[in-house]
Amino acid sequence: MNVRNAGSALFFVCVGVAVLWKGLHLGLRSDQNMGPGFFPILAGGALTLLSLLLFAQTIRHRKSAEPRVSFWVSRNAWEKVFLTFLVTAAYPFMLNLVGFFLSTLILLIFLFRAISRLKWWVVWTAGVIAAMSFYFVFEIWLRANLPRGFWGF
Amino acid sequence: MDTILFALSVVFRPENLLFAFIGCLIGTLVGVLPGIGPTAAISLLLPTTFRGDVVSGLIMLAGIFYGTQYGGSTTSILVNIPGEAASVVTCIDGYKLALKGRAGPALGMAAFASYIAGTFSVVLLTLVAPPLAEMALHFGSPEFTAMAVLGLTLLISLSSGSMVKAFMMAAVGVILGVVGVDPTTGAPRFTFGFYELEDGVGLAPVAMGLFGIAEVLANVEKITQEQRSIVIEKVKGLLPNLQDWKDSAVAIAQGSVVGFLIGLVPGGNTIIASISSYALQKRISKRGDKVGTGMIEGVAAPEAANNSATGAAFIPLLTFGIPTTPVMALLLAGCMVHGVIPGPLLIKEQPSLFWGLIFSMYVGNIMLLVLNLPLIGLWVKVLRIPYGILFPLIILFCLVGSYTLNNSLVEVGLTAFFGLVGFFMRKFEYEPALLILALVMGPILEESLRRSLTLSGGNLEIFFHRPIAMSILLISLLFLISFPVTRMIRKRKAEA
Repeated sequence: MNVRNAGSALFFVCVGVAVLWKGLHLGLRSDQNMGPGFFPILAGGALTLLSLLLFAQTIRHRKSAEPRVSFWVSRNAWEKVFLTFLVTAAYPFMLNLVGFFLSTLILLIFLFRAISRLKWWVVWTAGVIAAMSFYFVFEIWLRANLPRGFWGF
Repeated sequence: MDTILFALSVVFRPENLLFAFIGCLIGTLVGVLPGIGPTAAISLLLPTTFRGDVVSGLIMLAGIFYGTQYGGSTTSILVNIPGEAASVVTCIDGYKLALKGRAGPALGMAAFASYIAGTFSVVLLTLVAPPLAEMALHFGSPEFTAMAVLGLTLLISLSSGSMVKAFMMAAVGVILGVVGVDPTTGAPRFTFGFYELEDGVGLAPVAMGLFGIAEVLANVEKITQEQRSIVIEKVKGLLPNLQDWKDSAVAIAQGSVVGFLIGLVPGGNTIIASISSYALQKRISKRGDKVGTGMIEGVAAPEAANNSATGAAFIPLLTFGIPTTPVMALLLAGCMVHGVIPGPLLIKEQPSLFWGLIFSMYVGNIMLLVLNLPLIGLWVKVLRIPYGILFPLIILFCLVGSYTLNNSLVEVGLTAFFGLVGFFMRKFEYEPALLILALVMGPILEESLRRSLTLSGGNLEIFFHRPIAMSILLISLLFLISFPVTRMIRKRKAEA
């Protein structure tokens, strides 16, 4: 059985049911017109049915001849993905706390060193040049009004 | 004649020429670098167009789109890695030609075929778009509902993997499209108390996450310290000889036509165009059995097709306002930020945008020919940049770009979130492109369906009383039925 298909199908069944339930709360009709819940009900219902169909298909082809492909490319690949995502997700919080320049420098140095395993002098040189370039392009050229930290930039 | 002079006056404004050049340059660079495609590149650079002139911004984004098709062939031929997905089949004959010492003519033919086909599709775009836009002026809400249904149906039908999964992604896209305040009743839908979500989930953060961050996460898994090995260090003799031209003439012609036709169809992207044209070349060529062993027409056909498809993809967007590929959806987002709505009225309300964009492609194709041939040495050097340096910059571009949309940290968070979603979608074999297109088409479908039902007092018969709407819906139904049936017949034949 394709466990990935079965697992994802069950996940989408939950999503579909949640959307359907919320759609029913929003209302199917309002003043003889389509209500705000009409489309969520339609899409949520469709997602639920399709996910159940995928689950059924997966169960039916339990003895699939397809070779099993491992989820991660290599043993410690998940660490790289996890760390990259972690620092990416933390970036908006860092932006809010310490401003654009410092948070960008932290992000770049972490990725260059922890994931790419570059030499320290390359890490710092590339990090500072890239952070300054982004600052000049977005803040000075495009006037994007980037978040400022306690240093004022 | 007046239209041509007007279009030229728009294109030859210094700022528009500069942006066309920047777009072509970035497009070629993106095409050369494996691991980042046109959708990711355009979503990254979309925010940079929000603060300037809409015409210049769109000229640049369009330049990136067709520029990637040119650049993609360079890595296919020199390193046997497609710089861009549409250049996958170029690897087959291109790399073998390079190994035979004919990298120069292969690169030259790829550039010339791209130029000829690109110009061909822009000429047809110039001729076809205005009458189609005129026709679309007579469309009402029922017709637009039917068009949106047809678009979604074709996208699902043409998806490469499981059709059930394709439908599921369309449903998820439609669900994401309803997030925000309901335009009719004002009721908030799925906003979870975030006022930033009241305007809906932005296309750019979702696209940057699904294509930019997710692509990086997928590639980060495979990062090694090795550099790409480039077999060919110096490329000589870029101009193809007379025999090469004779061998490639039919390939370029059929690639241009096939690419254009496939580009017109929703979901008929540049990848399908190049593969179809290559397969057709194998069938029709006198030495078809040798295509795949290092034949120049094996480079010319797919390169012509993927460039021709790019021009054709603009037609549904500029005439009906319906994007048929994720790139077109991003261009639509780029227009809407400036309050410009592509569709039948665009040609009348924004003639400088409409004609400026189309004619910039003529100029852009010439720029690309100049960029690709003499600068091959530079692109070879670019190929040596390690991915370890590139990927943090791609992530940063996505994050800073999404912040500049509305100066909102929530959108930065959304980009990161959709990055993870996109990564898992790749792992679980769901197509992110379908989600993006459904996210764009969903609100169009909902709005036009609501208007239609308001017009008819809630009666669905309105679709049966309008011949165009009914015909389009019937075509959608035929497609919906025909694709699973065709797949089933093929499967049975294979089993027999």
